[in-house]
Amino acid sequence: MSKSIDVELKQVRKTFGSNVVVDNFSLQIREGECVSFLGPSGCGKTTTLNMIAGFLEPDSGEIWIKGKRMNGVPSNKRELGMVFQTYSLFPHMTVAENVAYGLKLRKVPKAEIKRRVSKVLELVKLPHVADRYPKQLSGGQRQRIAIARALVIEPSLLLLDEPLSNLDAKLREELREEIKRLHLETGVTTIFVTHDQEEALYLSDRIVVMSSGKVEQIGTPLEIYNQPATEFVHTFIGKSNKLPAAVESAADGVLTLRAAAGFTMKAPDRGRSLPAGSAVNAYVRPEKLRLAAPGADAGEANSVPGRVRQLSFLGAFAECEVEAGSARLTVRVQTAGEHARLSPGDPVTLIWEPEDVFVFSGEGRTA
Amino acid sequence: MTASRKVWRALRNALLLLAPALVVLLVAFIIPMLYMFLLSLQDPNGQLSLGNYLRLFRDPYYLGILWRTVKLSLYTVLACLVFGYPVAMFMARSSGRVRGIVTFLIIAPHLISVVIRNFGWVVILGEKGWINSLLMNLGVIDRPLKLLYNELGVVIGLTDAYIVYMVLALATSLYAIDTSLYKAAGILGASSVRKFFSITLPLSLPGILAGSTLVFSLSMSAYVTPALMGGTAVKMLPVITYENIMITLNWPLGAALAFLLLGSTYALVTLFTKLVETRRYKEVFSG
Repeated sequence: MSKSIDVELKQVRKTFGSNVVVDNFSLQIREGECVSFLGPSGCGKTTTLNMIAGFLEPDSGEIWIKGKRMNGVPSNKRELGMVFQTYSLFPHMTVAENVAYGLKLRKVPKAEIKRRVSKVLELVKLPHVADRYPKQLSGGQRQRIAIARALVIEPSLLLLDEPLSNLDAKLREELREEIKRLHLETGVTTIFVTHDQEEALYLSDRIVVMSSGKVEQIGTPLEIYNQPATEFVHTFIGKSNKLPAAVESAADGVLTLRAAAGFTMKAPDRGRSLPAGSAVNAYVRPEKLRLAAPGADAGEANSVPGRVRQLSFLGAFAECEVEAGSARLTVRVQTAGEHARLSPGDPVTLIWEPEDVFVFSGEGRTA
Repeated sequence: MTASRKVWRALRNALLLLAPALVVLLVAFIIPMLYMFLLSLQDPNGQLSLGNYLRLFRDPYYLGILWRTVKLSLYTVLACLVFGYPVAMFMARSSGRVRGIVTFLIIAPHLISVVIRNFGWVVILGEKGWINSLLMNLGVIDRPLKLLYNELGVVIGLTDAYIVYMVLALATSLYAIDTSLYKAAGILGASSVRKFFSITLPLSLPGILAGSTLVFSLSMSAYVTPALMGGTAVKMLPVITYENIMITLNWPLGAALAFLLLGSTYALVTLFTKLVETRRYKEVFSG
């Protein structure tokens, strides 16, 4: 049962002067999917969204929504819902009037407007604020109303432009859950723009990681996390320890790397066939490093002796900084575990599996 | 004890700081006003009487002039709104540099005396002025249009004099509108016209109110422009007030005219403000 393609971008390109902001962007979004555009500011994600919304026209390439070519179609004719970072509620209208705005423009009969407005306010769990003005609401409430205003017109596509960036951490998490729930309940095809990798991983069916106007990788959150296509993707998503190294030998898909920090490790070459002698950047994530007693047997795994430098408590877990050779590696440890009681200067052994090492040729950009 | 002493000290400091301004206001404004008011209540024999005011309200000549003054001031407000709004919108959408240039351009003419600017209009609008010669030469008209020494001339002159206040007041409230509101309205399906009437216009109400109040009060009390561009045919309240005090030397009647002007301006501005400041307006724009 394959769902139909709702949105298609074909080799979309946009330049401002001599600056290429979005280059060769192609993407297909299936009906009901939630796709995030993720990247640092200036990566072109917002420009791409603005082209889909119709606020900007691409220099070349095509944008299709629900089987209709959108190039040249003004934004007020695209039947989209959009939520902005700054809420953008009309300050001179009550909540009910804000939500009804799009319906009035569509000449929906009054009784039906009333019914649909109260239904959508129920959906965002704010039925009691209909007669208030936006400035009488909290930031989180305002954003919920903005979402309601976008959803009530039953848009063919919902665009969310950094909707959580203006909220504090606690509210952001709450609203993130809310958006996920609304997406599941309404099933509306959604594009979510964010610079926050956690939001993207949490909300999306697929993520488009972008940097400097280029698509680095398109994949499910799991693929993006576990099979990063580029060094940029690996470093932008989550924390990782960087170890510049040289390939000592390559055999049977296993690389032996000599880290500049002064130790060797094994890593899979993942079909990249890097020749011996080439300079690479190897990465290991903090949660993939294990601490063991000095001299512990690592078996087939990589291991290196080290010394604890400092321990930072972060709630459910702690980060332990370990000096190994000339490198300093961050290790994530459970707060409840024995390792949380280590103190600076304690000798330890670091152990990690070869398949947890990511090797990149060292020419790509990092985040 | 200490609290009340603190209040006292704050009050004393405030009074000390205000004293110079209060003295100037008292000597140059309040005392003359009181004097004028007493003057307006005197009959020709110096007796206390309401005669001057009764005369103003009974004589159709004065009532006619009051009506004309109000009417032409309203026309001026409308003309300033119609011609000023596009300029203010342009300013609100421009970059800081362009905005600075436009602000300078609309303020620059005011560096020249209003008398000279009005004579400039005489050159442009007169029977042998530029507009009439151009239209006659093009064959559009065969007799010169009467653009001066009538109500139209006064409204043109007042609009030129006061439109800058309207533009600056409107521009200030237009800057304050978050431009993402236009995007939001657009994506919900609003056309440009719809955006203007549903977003721009209602959110610029404070600017419209401030600009209109300013232009209206200034037009009501304008002397030079009505005198020069209306001539003897289009007399307005400030002009006949001046005539009574300086030419016929009927100071009591002149003073009564001045208070009629003050009272009617104040009443109309208050009425207008009350009409605009609905409950919703206060809800949206206060605080």
